[in-house]
Amino acid sequence: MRTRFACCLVALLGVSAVSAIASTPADTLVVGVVEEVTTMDPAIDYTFGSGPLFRAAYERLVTFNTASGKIEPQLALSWDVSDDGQFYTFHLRKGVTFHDGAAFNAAAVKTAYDRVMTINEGPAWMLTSYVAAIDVVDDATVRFTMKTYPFVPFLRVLSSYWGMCIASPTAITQNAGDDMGKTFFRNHIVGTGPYKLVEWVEGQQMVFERFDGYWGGWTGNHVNRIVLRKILDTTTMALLLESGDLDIAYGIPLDELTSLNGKPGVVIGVHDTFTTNMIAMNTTKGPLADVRVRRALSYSFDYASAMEVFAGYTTPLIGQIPAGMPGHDDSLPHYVFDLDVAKQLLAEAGYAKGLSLEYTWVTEEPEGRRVGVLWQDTLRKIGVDLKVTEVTVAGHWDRVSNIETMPDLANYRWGIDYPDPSSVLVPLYHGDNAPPAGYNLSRLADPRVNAILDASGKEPDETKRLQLLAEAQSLLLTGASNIWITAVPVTVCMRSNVQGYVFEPAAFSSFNFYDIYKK
Amino acid sequence: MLDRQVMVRYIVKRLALLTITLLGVLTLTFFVSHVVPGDPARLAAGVRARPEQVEALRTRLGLDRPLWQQYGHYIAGVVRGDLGESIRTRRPVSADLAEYFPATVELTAFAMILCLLIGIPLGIVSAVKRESVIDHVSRVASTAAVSMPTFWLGLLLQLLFFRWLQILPATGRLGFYLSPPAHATGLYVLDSLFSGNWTALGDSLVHLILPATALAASSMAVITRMTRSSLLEILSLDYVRTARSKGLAEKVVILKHALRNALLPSLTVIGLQVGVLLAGAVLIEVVFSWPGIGLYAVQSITFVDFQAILGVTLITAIVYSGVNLIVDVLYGVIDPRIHY
Repeated sequence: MRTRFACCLVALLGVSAVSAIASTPADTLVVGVVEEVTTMDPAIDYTFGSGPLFRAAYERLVTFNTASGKIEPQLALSWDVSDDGQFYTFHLRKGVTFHDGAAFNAAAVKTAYDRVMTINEGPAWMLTSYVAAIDVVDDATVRFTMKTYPFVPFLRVLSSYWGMCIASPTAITQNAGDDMGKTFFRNHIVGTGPYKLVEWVEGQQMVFERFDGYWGGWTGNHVNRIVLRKILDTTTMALLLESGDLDIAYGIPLDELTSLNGKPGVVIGVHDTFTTNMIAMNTTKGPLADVRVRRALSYSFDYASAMEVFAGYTTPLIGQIPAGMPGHDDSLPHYVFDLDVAKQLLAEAGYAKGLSLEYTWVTEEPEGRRVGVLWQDTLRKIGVDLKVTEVTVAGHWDRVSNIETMPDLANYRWGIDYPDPSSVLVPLYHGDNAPPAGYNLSRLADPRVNAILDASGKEPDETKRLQLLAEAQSLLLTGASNIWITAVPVTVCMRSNVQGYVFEPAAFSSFNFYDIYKK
Repeated sequence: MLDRQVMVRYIVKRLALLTITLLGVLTLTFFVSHVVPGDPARLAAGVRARPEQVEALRTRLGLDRPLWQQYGHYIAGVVRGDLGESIRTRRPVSADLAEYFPATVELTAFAMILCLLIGIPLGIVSAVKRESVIDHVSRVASTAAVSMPTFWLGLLLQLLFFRWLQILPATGRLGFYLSPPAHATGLYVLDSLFSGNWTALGDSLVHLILPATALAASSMAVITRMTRSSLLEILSLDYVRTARSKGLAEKVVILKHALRNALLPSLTVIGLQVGVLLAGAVLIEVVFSWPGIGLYAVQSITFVDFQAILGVTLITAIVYSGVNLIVDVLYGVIDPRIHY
C-alpha cells in the first residue's frame, strides 16, 4: 500500500515536472513583467505597471500613432473643436459593449470621467486642470467644455492611458459602495477592450481571455489568452524566455542581455522610450547658481562614453524632447565634451582652483550610479571633486523638494504623461513647477522660457508651435539648467514566433495585444 | 495533575511576556521606520501628483498628525485587530497578509520538513558512523551549505535543474496554465489535497522543491552538525555504556536511549532556525518570484509603506515567539526532568 502511494506520488511529480517546462500553448501569449500594479483602478493607477493590462482590457476615446505623430480614433470616431477651443465634441463609435454587457455611449464617457475627476487622485489632474464639464449631447455625442482655452494638446492628453481608460457605467454605479467603487475597481477591469480579465492571483499572474463581443471582431490572427506573469528576478526571466516558458520578456536590464545573445529562437529588442535621463543642476544656490559653472559642467560631461552605461544601445539626447516626439529637433545646437572649454569657463567664474559638488542618483535608476562614477573621474581632471550619493525614490523626492537639502546635481528620469512636447517642457522647465508643485528640479525661473511655453499651449498652428518649442529648447540649452543625457531604452525580448508587436515609445510598457499572434 | 497546572501557568506567563515583547518590537519598528527619509503621502499620491492632492491624501491617511498620536492610533488599532491600510496596495494590511502569508508558511514549513527529514537522520548517521565517508561528505556539504549565500544557492539550483536539466520549474507557486486550488488555507498543497485537485497538488509540490531546498540548506546543515555533536557527546556517557553492556541492540541504544537526550540541544536550534528560515525567505522569495510576505516586505520597504512593514514585523515576531514557546514546552515532553 505504502509502495503504491509512493509510486503514485513519484508519477505525479514526474508528469508535472515535464509539463512545467513545456513551451506555451499556441493560442496563449505569456508575458513576463517585473512590475505589477497595486490597483487596477483607472482613476487611481499612475504607474508604468498598468500599461499591459489597461491596453488589453480598456480603451480610450482617441489614441496616438507614433509613426505618424497623429491622433487617431478609438472609441470616438471623429471630433470637432470649436474655433476658440472651448468645446470638444466627440462623435462616438456605435455598437460597442463593455465586458459586462453595458452599452458604450455618451453617458458612459461622462460617468467614467466624472468618477476620475471626483476621486481626484493620481492622474485626475489631466482632466481637472482643463475640463470644466462633460455633457451628453445625444447617445452618440459627448461634449467637453474646457476650463482654460485654447489648450492645443488636449487630444493628446486624452490619448494617455492614465486616467483616460473608460470603465463600464453599470460597474461604476453598481459597485460604488461608500468609496466610489475604489474597492471594486482595485481588482476588477470592466472595459470595452479586446481582452477581459479572468483572474488575478496577486504577486503571481493576471490572465486575460478574448472578449467575444469585441467591436473590432476576431477575424485575422489573434491570441485567445494572455498571461502576465510577474517575475521580479530578471536573471530568472531571461532563463524562462530562453526555455520557451515566456513568449515575451519585458524589462530585462541592458547589461543582462548578453546572456540571451545568439540564443536560438530569441529575438532581442531594445527601444528608446519617451522617458529621458538628465542631471538637474541647482540653479538657486551654491556655485551652480552661476550659469558659467553650469555651462562648464555641460562641457565636462563625456556624452559618448556615457552611452556605454546604456550598453551602447542609445544615443545622446539632442534638445530636451526625445526623438520620435513632435517637437524633437536634430538641428538644435548641443554641448560637446571639451575639457579645455570647461576649465576656461570655471576659471572665468572664479573656480580655477576647483570646487566640490554633490551628485545624487536614485537606487531604482541604476544607470545614475555609473554615469556619476564615470563623470567623477572626468571631473577630477579639471579640479572638480564630485561626491556621489545614493538616494531612494522617497529620499530623492525629500531632498529635491526642499531648497535647503537640494543637492548640487541630481540624476533623474522623466517619463511623459501624454505624447506632446508640453509634457516634457512644462513640468520640467516652467518656473511655476518648482518642487513640490512640479518636477522643475533645477528651479529654473526664466521668464522668457515661461512666456514661450505659455504661448505654445495656445498656438493652434502646428508649424508655428514647433518654432516656439525650438526657441524654448535653445534658451534652455543656453541656460544649462540640466545635463541632458539620453532617452532611456527599454528591452522587449521575445520568442521568434511572436508576430505583430509594435513598440510605442509613448506607452512603452504596454503591448498591442490585439495585433500580436504566434506563428 | 499538578504538573499540568504548572505547565498551563507557565504558558500563560509566557504569553503575557510575549505581549510585552510584541509591543516592544512594534514600538521600535514604528519609530525606526518613521526616521527613514521619504514622504509616504507623496509616494502614495505619485511624484506627479499636485501638492493639494498630496495634502488631501496625507490628511486621509492621518500622516499630518504628530508622531506620538499616530503611534497611539496605530497601537489602539492593533489591539482591535486593525493593522491599518497599506498605502501601496490600498487595502487593509490584514487582507494583504492573508493573501501573502500562506505562501511563506508553505515555503518555510516545507523547508523545515526537509531540514528535519534530512538533517536529523544525517546527523545520526554521521555520529554513529564517525569518520566514515558519509560523515566526511556530510561535513563538507554542511560547511558549503552554511557558507553559501541563500540567494546564490537559489540561482545555482535554478541554473542546474531548470536551465540545464530542465526538470524543475524556476519561479512561482504554480504553472501559468493552472489556477490556484479552491481557497481554504491559502497553502496550495493543502488546498489541492482538500479539493482533490491532483494536478494542482503535483504542480505546487514541484514548484516547492527548488525554493524550499535553497532555503533549507543552511538550516539543515546546522541541524545536522548539532545532532551529530550532541549525539556523540551522549554516546560517550556512562548510561549508554550501561545500556550497551546490558546487551541491548545498538539500534535501541541509539534511537531509544541516546537520541532522546541528544535531541534537546537540537530542538533549541530548530526553534531558532524558524527565524533564520523566515529571514531567508525574503531573498528566496525574490529569486523565485514566490509571492509571500518576504516579497511583500521588500516592496513595502521601498515604498515607505509603514503600516505594511509593521504588519510584516508583527506577524514574523508572533511566529518566531510562538515557535520558541512551543520548543520550550516540548523540552518538558522530551525530558521529564525539566519542570516549569
